[in-house]
Amino acid sequence: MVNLVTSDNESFTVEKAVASRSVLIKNMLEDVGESDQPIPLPNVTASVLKKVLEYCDHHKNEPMPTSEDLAAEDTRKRTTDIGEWDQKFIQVDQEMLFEIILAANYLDIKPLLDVGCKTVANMIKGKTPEEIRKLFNIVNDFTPEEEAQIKKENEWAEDR
Amino acid sequence: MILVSVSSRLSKAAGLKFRQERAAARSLVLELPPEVVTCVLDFVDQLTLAAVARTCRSLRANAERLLYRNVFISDVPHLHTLAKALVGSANGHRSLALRRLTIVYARTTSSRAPHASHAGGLTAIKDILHHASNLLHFAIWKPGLPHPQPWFQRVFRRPIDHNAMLFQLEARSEHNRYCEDSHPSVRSFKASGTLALGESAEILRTFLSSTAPLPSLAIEVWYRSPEILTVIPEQLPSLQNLEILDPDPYAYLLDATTPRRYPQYFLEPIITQLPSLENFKLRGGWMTWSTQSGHQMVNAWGKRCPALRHVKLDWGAEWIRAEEGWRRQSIEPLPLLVF
Repeated sequence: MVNLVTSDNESFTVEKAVASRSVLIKNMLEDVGESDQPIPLPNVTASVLKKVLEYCDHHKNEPMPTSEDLAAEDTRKRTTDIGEWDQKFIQVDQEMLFEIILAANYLDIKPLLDVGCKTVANMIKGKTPEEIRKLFNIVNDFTPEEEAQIKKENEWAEDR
Repeated sequence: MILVSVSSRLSKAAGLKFRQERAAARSLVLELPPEVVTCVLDFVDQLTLAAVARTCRSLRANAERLLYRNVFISDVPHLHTLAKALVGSANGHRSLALRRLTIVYARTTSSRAPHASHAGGLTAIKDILHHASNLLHFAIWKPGLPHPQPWFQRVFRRPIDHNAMLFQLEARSEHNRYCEDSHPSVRSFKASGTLALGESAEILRTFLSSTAPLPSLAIEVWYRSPEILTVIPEQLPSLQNLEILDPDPYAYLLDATTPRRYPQYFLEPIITQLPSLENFKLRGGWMTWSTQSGHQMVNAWGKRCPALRHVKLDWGAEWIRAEEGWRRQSIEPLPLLVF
């Protein structure tokens, strides 16, 4: 078992197979060897780690993506399809969604990072700039002229 | 027990409300590290990328870096728009991002004929290439035939369909396929032989001179553009790997004198000027009359190009330089030539 300590000082004791879904934790475990020392995770709060561990537990028996898989994925046409369980798992409020993404990035859990990124991508697909701003509370810092200029310069992107 | 459960639910609800209020007060997406924003935007289509680029300054560069990575243009006015979009100090991220560019002269919204040299098309292409120093793959497609003589049309099949829609679909599908398959250390250039005389060579020259040299080059030339070959040693004298694909490599030689029909006669001068060339691959119908003539050919090339150690022709003919000389690697029989 592995003991993980969050930024708000909460402890989680989990199976090694679950914790090792995180490449960061897996590497730390390999570095320290067999030890009862708790692993501090200063960038993750308890509420977020709980969700992350739920994901890791569900996927603990799946093969870890190899570096070849990741390299191939970079060049392959990327789809935004998300598995049924993952879809339900990621149905959270926007703040939790972004915190899961940040935690997945920090803990180096590529499949979870992809689930989070795909979810955000699906939220913005086909939306206008104004709709995206409203969705993510973004302030438009372009002047109307600047925005019109960018629109004109990127017109070629409508080429199909 | 019930009290604890109610209290727990109230606490969860309060936490959720607090989080929602906090989320509403700031933009969480802008707090993501740039590499995570890129990871999100990597999953969206180019129309959405164009929309994201217009939301705010901090998302613009991230979205445009992805938008300009692979560019497919099939409308001449868009070519001019792209050329202008790469100019200016505020647009440096766009030109640096450009890795793959496919141009198809299949349709135009202007009433003018779609032609590279028409309406400044060639100038726009050269302007784009001058700014795209990281461009790895360039392809230009143009429908139609290069005004071949009647006997030429009888002998050689037409390489491209006149149906503009099909032509464009084929170009788009190849563009997407190359996006998936390409290797980052190989620069590739593909030009339709239906370009006006000299245009493909001029475009290749601009492409190679504007971009940082790589050890490998793959070029695909449709329908007789022999002048394109001379540009290679001129621009890349230290090239190590060269691949040439031409569906009709002998076509332009039909009206030449007999000895020049063999690949060694017109490729040898090119190889002589590439002293670092190690691997030479010819695809698309390049062949020699026999094993003996193939041996003579690679032997002659090897004398002029000391680094050359591997030559691959179509039909499985592969030559490797060993200590004792050149040996043929494959045992596949050579096909009969049909001149």
